[in-house]
Amino acid sequence: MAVIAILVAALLISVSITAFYVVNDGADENDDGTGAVEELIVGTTNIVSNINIADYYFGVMAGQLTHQSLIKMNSTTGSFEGCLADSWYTLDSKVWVFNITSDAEWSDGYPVTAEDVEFSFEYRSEHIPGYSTSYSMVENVDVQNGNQVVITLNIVDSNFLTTLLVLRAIPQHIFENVTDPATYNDKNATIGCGPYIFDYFDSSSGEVSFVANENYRDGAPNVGRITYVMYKNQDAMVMALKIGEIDATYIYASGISYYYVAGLVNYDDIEVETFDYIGVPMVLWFNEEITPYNNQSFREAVSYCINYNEVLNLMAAGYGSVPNAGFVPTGTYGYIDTRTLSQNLTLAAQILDEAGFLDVDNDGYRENVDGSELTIELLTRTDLSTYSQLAQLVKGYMGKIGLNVEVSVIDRTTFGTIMDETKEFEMAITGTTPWGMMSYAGYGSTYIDDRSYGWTGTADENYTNLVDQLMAATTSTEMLDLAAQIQEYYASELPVIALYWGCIIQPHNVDYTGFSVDALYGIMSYETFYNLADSG
Amino acid sequence: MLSGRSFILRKILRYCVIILIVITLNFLIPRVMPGDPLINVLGEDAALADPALIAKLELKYGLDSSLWDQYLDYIGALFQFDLGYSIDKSSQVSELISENMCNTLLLILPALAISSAVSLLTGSWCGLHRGKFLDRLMTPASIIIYCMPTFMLAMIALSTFAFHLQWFPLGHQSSSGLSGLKAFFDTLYHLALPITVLTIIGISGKHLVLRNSVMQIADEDFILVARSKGYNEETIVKRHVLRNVLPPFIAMVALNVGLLVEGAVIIEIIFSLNGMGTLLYDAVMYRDYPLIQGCFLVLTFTVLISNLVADILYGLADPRIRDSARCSEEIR
Repeated sequence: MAVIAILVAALLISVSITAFYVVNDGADENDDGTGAVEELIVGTTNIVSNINIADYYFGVMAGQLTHQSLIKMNSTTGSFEGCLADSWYTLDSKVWVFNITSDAEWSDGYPVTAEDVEFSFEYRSEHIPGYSTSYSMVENVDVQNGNQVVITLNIVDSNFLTTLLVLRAIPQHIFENVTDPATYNDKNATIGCGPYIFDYFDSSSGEVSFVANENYRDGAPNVGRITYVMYKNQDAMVMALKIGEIDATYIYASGISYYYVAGLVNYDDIEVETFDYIGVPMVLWFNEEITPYNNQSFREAVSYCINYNEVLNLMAAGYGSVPNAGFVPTGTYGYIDTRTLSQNLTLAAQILDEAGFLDVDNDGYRENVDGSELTIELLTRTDLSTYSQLAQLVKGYMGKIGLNVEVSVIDRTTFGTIMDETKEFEMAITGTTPWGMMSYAGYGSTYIDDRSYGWTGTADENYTNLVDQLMAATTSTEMLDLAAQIQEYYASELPVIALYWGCIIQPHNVDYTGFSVDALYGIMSYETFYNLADSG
Repeated sequence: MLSGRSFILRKILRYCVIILIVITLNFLIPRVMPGDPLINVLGEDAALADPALIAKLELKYGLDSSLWDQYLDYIGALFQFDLGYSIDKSSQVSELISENMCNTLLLILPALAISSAVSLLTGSWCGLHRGKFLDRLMTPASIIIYCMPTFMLAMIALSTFAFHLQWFPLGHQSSSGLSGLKAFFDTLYHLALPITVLTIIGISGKHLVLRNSVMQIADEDFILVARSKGYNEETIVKRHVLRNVLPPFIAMVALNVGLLVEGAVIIEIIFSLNGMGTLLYDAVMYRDYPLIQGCFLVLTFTVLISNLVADILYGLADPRIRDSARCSEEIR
């Protein structure tokens, strides 16, 4: 029997060795010695299922590389720049006029026209479910004077340019006869007008590859080919980086877990960068439509019971910072300093006492103001283990001031159904994305205002008026002033409590220099593609 | 007296009833789970979705009618071999399943075959030769591996052989752009490590059961009688020990088919492979009702067919089982 086991093992090893040499005999180096980068191989845990325009993560890659909007964000300055539009103007933040550039071309050689942009709005809204909701403020899109796109909104929205960042224009001549884009997986579905052209997608090897567009109007980018290699777990991706199979990692709107940093810093050929994350990784949400969560004193007391330093160290190994009561993280345009959150159990208990939340029946837990039992359901999701760990921590902190908390852990879809549809929760823990923080009126308003996602169900006129004014702001001075006011509102009313502010941990190979980070796509920014160079 | 054919027909009839029950449960269970499948279709902006858009999507995915009507539609479609259209992946369920089932079979069939053959040999040998070197090596090793979570064993294998030693790739099913013999060896090279992990897991469980079964049988009186009659060891093992051990072993292998597909989800995630495990996992996570139904239906069929084959093989392996089935039918 032992002989058979040894034979099986020997067979496996010999097959592997043979296969290794057969497969690797054509391996080549990725350095042409000119400073230009021949190929950037990026590991990702964002899994692409197919190459149609409805595939979420293929859409993210397309937004970075092949497809463009009317405007883009400069990763260095954070300001808006023309992209498919040379210039634009609005008089009232309701009617927006964009002058389409004359030298943009689709990768199949057709010119990009104002009609293509108009078609893109209409087609995507009709066929891609999420688009019609994101662009529900668009009342009408018209073409005038041949090269002008006029977008009329049904509301005043000074933040419309941010919303426009995720529009990906598509060619009318390709899609006008495609009735179901979600099943249109032809290579033509990938035709765009960006600095790269889609090359291939191979689900068996987990690769999606793009080559530089030599005919791109700003010239071909410095990185000749970008290949994403998809991994279904971060461990394998980080191992691939360590042994040089990939040049960098990339996770949309996130970085790798802090857990891997200690192992990476020992590698001389890997650099680990951190940069501000303008989403908030972990947030405590109150449902203001329910008592006692609509009580400011209750929320303030909770804000004082949490040990934020401990949360930061346990959940992110210190990669980030203790948040302010103003919720909006540092690095956000218009950020102001508000009260730094800190633990003060005496003050928290005092606030609850003064507000009437007393332990009437002496069971160790406080009751509601009217004397009824108070058991708080704290909802969180299973897809990240840290959420349930944090929920247990928060339960412990709240228990210290006599609040009885029961943690309820549910899967992502059920969590989404409750937060977005039924709103049947009391308190919840989940994060916000950078896009979520930027959208609607910005500054996280989409999560808070009852007229938008409204997870907290905030309908306070003081707040909704601020949001309306922010939407209607026409100058940056006015906008910054209102941004400050909205952060002061968060700090005083505490509809949400940021549990820590995170940073994106971004490792990459030291062979390359010139990575630039933009708020939406991280290191996969337009500037990276043009500035990245082989460090020699 | 019932013939062998009616024995098989009775089995098939019983499986048909089971299939009907399974189809009904497949339909009901996803729908009683909390969570709306459209949440994932609408993405981040689900909270703002226009009711007209939601109604349009419900109509598109057949979620607008009553549960009973949906059930009838589902049964009707099944009779036309139509498994439906995936809500999350925008593809025909049958296409997704056939594509992923091929990948899974590439992974689990070799693992099942090798682990069954090896455990049959090692389990029998160790049961008959208790305390010998191989038994002292295999049995504790099997217990340790059997108790070890799949992800842990897979991560140890990945870290040791793919990362530190770099004998194998860090994942995926193949490299891109290869064809012919190169593609064949490349796939073999990529799948060697995950198959080995699944094989080792398979051996550990089956080895232990087989060893203990052989040990029990070897102490039975009829083995002593066989020995006293002067039969040689080979004859005793083939005619008396293995005949008694094979039925539970066959049952275990049959059940292993379903468990391997289920267990493969961890292997697929760790080795970044595509297959039925992750397809089903995604379907459940995204409440993709047609895909959940389709995956469970195919898995049910796989397990039922392997059980049916096992039932038939029992009779061949041990004629007493077949005869007892006939007798009970006669009494009835």
